[in-house]
Amino acid sequence: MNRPRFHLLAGCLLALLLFTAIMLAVGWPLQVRVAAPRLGMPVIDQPGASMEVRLVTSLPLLLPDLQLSLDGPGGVAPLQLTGSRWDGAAAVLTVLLPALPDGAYALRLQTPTQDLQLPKAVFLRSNWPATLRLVQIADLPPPGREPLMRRFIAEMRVKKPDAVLVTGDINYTGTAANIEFIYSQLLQLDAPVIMTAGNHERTAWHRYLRVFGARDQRTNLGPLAILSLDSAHGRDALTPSTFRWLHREFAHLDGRRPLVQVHHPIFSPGATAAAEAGGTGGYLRGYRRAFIELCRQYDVAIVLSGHWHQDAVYDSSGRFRADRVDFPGTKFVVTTALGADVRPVFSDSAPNNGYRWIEFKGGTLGAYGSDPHNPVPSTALGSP
Amino acid sequence: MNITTWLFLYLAGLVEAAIRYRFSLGDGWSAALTLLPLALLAMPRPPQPFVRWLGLLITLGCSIAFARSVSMDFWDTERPDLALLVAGIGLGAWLTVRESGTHSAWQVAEWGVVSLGWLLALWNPFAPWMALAPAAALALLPPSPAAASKTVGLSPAWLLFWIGMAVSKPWWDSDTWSALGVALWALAVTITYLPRIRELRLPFPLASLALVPLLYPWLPVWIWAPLLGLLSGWALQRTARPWHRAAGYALLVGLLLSYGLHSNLQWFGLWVWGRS
Repeated sequence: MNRPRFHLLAGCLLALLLFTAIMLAVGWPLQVRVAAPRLGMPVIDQPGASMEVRLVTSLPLLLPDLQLSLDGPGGVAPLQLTGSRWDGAAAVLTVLLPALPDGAYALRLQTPTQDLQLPKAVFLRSNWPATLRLVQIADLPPPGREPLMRRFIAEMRVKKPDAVLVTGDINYTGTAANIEFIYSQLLQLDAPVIMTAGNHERTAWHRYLRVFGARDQRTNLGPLAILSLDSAHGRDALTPSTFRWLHREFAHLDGRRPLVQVHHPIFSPGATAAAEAGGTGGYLRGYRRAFIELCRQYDVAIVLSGHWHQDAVYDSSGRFRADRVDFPGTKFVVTTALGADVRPVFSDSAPNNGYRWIEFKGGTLGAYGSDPHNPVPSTALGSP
Repeated sequence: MNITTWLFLYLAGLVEAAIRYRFSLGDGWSAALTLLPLALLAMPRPPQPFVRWLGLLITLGCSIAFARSVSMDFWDTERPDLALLVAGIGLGAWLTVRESGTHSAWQVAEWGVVSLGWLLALWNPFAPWMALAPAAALALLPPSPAAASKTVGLSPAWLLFWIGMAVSKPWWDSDTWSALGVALWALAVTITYLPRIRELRLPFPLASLALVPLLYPWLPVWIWAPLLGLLSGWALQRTARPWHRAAGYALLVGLLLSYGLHSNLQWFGLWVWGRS
């Protein structure tokens, strides 16, 4: 072997050996993290259906021996593995949901070195009611306003919606105490919680990822496909990857009616804003026109947003609607803050802390405001 | 390893982390610590040999400690201890490679490591930083004779500016595609350093037209990245040496401009249909 070739081979081998040693030092012993399902991105399906579990591993293409099971009101049942594949960083395991009674279950994962429990990750539902009742909240209470969160949880335990959608700004201060309080409260809900991030999550992004997990996600809920988008990375926009993901999900709805939640409102408050609104009216900028076109093309029932801390409803042309509930096309809805300070962005909308109550009959949108004629008002906290 | 590869790995890793974990100048001391190694570019004095070995040890230790802290968790960019480890990775590697030259035989291994680092970022987002240690280790090997390459009068600053534009493209908001794009790009650079392939003649003015798609954010990564990698590799070998320090900063400018153009910051009115 001549000298340059020897040098080439020796250099490559040395670099490869050193790199392998570093990776082993970092990733050994082999560990896993459950990316999904979890509180905030649950699986809701019937016994016997297939479910995907996404695991991130500490070393590439290696999985430890593991057992998966569901733990809940119906007892403990192991999950039968029917398939597996690698999707980039994640190992995707396909399992069958066992024959257990309906209810909320924790996903349990055991390896030789780990025993992980993810409460409220899986919801078994054998059948769906004629009317699906969803609740949407956004802009959750910061420290000092905890009673509002507790009151909301108490109301939901009475009203028992089929799912709670959380449209961002969960951890207002970014502190560990703030997000742990919100997590502990959401854990008390009987309904599945479906989460998307807001701009305040970016002040402690690692905490949001650690507690609630992913960015863009899809949750099937009976006849609905709930698509949760991340617009809140400081750019008030959908990024190319998010938009491409949305496009792909729309193309595989499997007969379900799509519903989108995204933290930023789609339209500008424009002329409808009250004079004192100031700079509070941020809205989606990147990919807005294309997003609205996709909503029209795939007949999206409703797009749910937060961020403004006040209620508003728009039609597809961006016109503020306070006249009637059943105007044609997608409803672009902004919901007030659940617990953060309220803002007088619109004179047509009374500022209050509250949540939005949304009803679907099959895949058809029914009520989505507390006023049967005017869609704008949400349900104020403490309403009967 | 030469100083540009160091810059590339450290800066691109920082940009990638910034996207994933909201690294911000507003993080105060932690941000300052993380950016500290960039200030070293202004220091001209070559380190003593033992300092180069010490630098490698620092890089190795810091990259392992940092990656173990965050690999199954997430990076708290405000934590000063983690910022210190990141700074240690950059500082140690800089001490090792600061005055090393460009040796033809090691360049294949060096760019191979860069490519491998970004490929492994699919599993561990900090793998590009971990690649700094093995790449820097190559700088400690005895130099091998460089094959003569005819220079083509390309400005190194311009070249590095375009390379900065090349890494972490629009896919960088996606955990998978950003890393894969850079890995493919670096793999193509590696190939250009192989014997025989490095001697190929390329009509650079014509080939540089391939840079135009950089302005378009949605070109499929598997077409665009290797093509640009081949161009970058051939051009890297044919620019005049030594490079002025400004060339390193040109890489930084390219990175920032690319971020602005393709991450919906809405700079410069670069609107593609559907984005508004």
